[in-house]
Amino acid sequence: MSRPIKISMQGVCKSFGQKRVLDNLNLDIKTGQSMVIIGGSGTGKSVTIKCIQGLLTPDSGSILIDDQETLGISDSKRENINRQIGMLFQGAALFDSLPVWENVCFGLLAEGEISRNDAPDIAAEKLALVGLSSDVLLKSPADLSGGMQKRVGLARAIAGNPEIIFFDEPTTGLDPIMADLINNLIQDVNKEIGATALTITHDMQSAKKIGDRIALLYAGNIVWVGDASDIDHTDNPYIEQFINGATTGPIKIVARN
Amino acid sequence: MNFLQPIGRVFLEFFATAGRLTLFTFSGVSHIVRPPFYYRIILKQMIDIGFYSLPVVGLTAVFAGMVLALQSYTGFSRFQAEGAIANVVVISITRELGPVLAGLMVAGRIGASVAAEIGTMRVTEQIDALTTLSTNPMKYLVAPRLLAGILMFPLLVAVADSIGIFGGYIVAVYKLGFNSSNYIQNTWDFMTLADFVSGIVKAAVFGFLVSLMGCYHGYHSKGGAQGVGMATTNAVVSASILILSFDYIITELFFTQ
Repeated sequence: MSRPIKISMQGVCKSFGQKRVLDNLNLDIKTGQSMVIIGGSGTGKSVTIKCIQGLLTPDSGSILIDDQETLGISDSKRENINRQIGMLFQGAALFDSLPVWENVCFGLLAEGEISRNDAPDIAAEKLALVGLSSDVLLKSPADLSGGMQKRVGLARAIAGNPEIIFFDEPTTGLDPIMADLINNLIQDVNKEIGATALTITHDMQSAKKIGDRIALLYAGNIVWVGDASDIDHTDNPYIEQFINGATTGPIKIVARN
Repeated sequence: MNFLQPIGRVFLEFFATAGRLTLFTFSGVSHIVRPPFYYRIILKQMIDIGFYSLPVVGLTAVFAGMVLALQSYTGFSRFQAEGAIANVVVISITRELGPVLAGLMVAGRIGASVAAEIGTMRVTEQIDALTTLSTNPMKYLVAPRLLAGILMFPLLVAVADSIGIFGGYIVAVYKLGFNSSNYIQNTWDFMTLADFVSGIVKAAVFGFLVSLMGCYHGYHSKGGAQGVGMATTNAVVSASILILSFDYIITELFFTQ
């Protein structure tokens, strides 16, 4: 039986000044699916996620989550939608004024789902899921390495058992071993909580490992989408050029001002 | 006609900024009175703004009072009007020097730190992270700082008034040879409730302005470290200019028939 569509983007356009970043973007993500968007820098990957989250407002188009339109809704409805979303930011975006345990349980505390007394124990459980011991609970994010910060960020993203998780460049800036560890953790937590996942990356190894489906974003639109297992066999010229890192092909290299 | 373009651009940017600031102010103020309230954050901000500003405000006030007594004596002794020193010190400190000097000093300390903290949160995506964790950044970051500024500045200025008048007393009694009890009696006789209240009202307004400028410039900072630095500078400069402008407006309202 076909799974229902969790996130649907239809004809989404977004411009910044004269520059059109998303140009009539269409993308469907099914419930429980792990979709990976790949693409070069400045192609609109982050903008796509921010539009779904409501951090940016598209100029036109439609974004449905569970068949409910999310554009133009009130702040309280947006907060309700965001309650079912977790996000791992590229730089982890941990709150540096708070200790690790409070970072991990921030969303749960904000919702009033747990008390401050219970929070450190719950944070320890979430940290165990990402392979961190309770030794880091009282530490400040600034005292952690980049890889550990990513793991704390992942623990925070999954703390509320979200139905949707976004991963923004999860392996960028990490060494290959730590990157593989993060990929494994993402695979594990996706299986564990059964969430619908959307990852943006330009790390092909990461994309093939954590994605069920892969989409290539170029010039604000999806130019190829298919199963992760198909990406090595397609003759799509955009995919071929991107995977091989060739400077010649349909993907134009634009010098940015 | 090309020479008109930069002029038009400046005007458009001015009106856009004015509109953004107005919306930001309304949003920040509305979140002060709408639940949920983050009592821990409010208390922390009150301590940061109030308690930790006491040394700088106290030192500024005591030297202002001392200099005022000394300068008044130098000037008034030409007209055998030395007896008016207590009057000059108490009126100058309570009406003007207390709130304005405290405001400017705290604008440097608090305006800069608020802009730098919120600005860093903006460029490291911590503000986006707040939104994804169902927490309104205006309510969590801006409203507590505005409220703390409004509540703590009057207390700081009350302390500054006391210390400033005490500074004048020290110079008058121990350097210029005034009789202690006469000087204190004169100070009491000349101090009016209107002087004190006008200073406290100014303090509340200045507290709001300093916090608002710090929050606004930090919230809209962009471009990494350079952007945060610019936001910090703009916060201090704009708060200082607004303090001096509103000082005149409030004085006009209180003391002009």
